[in-house]
Amino acid sequence: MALAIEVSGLKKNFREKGRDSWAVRGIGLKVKKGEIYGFLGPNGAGKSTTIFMLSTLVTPTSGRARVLGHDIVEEANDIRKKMGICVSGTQFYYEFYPREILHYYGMLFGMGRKERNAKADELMAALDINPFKDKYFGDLSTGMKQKVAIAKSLMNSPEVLFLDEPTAGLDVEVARDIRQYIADLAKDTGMTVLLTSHQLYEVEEMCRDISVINRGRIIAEGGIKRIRERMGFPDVVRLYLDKYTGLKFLGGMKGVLDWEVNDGLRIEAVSSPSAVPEIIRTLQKRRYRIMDMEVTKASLEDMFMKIVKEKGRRKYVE
Amino acid sequence: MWNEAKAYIYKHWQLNKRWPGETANLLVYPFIGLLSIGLFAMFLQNQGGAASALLFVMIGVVSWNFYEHSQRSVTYAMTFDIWGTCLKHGYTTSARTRHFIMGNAIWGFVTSCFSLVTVGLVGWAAFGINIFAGGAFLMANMFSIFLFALGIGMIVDFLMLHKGIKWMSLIWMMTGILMIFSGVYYPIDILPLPAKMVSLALPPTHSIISLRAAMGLGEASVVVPELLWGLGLSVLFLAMGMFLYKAGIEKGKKNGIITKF
Repeated sequence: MALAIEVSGLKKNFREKGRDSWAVRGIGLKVKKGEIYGFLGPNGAGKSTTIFMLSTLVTPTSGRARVLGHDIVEEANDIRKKMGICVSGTQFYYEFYPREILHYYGMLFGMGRKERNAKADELMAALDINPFKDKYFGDLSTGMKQKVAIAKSLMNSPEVLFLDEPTAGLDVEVARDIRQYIADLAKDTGMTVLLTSHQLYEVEEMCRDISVINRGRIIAEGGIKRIRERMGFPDVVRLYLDKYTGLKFLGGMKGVLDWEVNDGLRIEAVSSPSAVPEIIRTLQKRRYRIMDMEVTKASLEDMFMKIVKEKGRRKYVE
Repeated sequence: MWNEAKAYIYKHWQLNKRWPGETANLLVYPFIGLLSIGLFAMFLQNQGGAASALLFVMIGVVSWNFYEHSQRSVTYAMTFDIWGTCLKHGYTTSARTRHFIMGNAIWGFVTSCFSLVTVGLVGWAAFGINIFAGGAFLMANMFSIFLFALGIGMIVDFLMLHKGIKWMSLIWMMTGILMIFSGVYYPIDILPLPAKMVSLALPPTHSIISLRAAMGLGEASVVVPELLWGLGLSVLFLAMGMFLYKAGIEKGKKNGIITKF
């Protein structure tokens, strides 16, 4: 599949007072067209700097990156025509109405009046901005402001959208609305989204593939499922059986890491597509009746914490 | 091309409508300057000063008012974004430097002309001085001052992008510093030689001399040469401003200043 974002060896040094200050230390990234890609990392890891470089707001110190086939340094204006960006806590002129903000940025994209009106109408309806259209931006709540920011980033119908913590500080309902709208839009239009977020459930919900950056380096990359497997996080299976005797054979089973009987049978199994089905088949062969079961996989949060704690000593790259 | 440039005019228009301070910049401050300096000149005239003092000062006031409005159109285009913490958004659109210059220049020229007309009319009514008698020379010299102001505005923008907003006060400081050297309230002949050299390198000095001469305060033979000197220097400052503004954006992208606002 064609790539929307292709990065190799990208570095950024914000040299201050003669001292090096590396924000990004040579990263690579490949994001397919139409994908919603998660870009994670703790505070100060280099996420925002990377997004600012890809959106042509910051010039890299070295390395190469192409967005929609255009070089981020040489062909920056070609990229800007086709991209949108929304960062957390976005601000605009406080004395502008939401529609005026959309018109202003529509004009900066060279859109004519009719086109601007149509797009502003569409976005204000889709993001439910109309109920507060008569309020100045400065009088809006954080969630409303962020909706306007999202709408602004979509004014030019971008092919690539950079979202830097778009739902930070928002209440659950607004965050869910925004997530849903972006996911639907990406599906309908084939728009590529590079998403950073501290809400890891949000990333897990929206993205199939992720990269984790820490201290300016990519330390995990690939499908969430594959990274989970590579990290060796067990799947926890809780089985409710008709009897709990004669289970010692589990200890010798391939794929079983640990087991105990405690509120049913709790098994820690290797996270792989075959381990849990094999355990179930074996139990059924031995005439155990399974009354109920739960499988819990390591959350992205568990994975993220482990990756970051290891401080890049191990890499989880597909 | 037009839509992108129009965006900057639209922004100025909306903010001027809604920021009382901006409206004051356009409607109140010029009159404070005009009336206070005009009355002071009138007082000196009544104390036995030259009869031409009032006309001399009025030409300076009107010219400098034109300069201030024109410069602000460019520098405020950026400071509005810095104050609104939305500088970065403008640089993620397809609008380019030429759109920025065109939009802000149109706004600057229109508001400066508006201010020129109103200040001129008030000056005429209050002091009986008809600045419009300068005719084509008035407009040509104001145009020269306008080009210079755009250049200086972009140089200030460059400094803010290069060094950060601590340089923002230059917007106002620059106006004052340049005024000292531009012979707004006095002939530059009274300046010490080094300061006079600086004066001669500044386009408004020549434009103001040309306009004064065109209105009878000097030799008629200097009207056109001084006008042309002023225009030539203004074009140089404008070219320098455009070059530095572009360099400022590149620097702002290197040092990350654009992303902070």
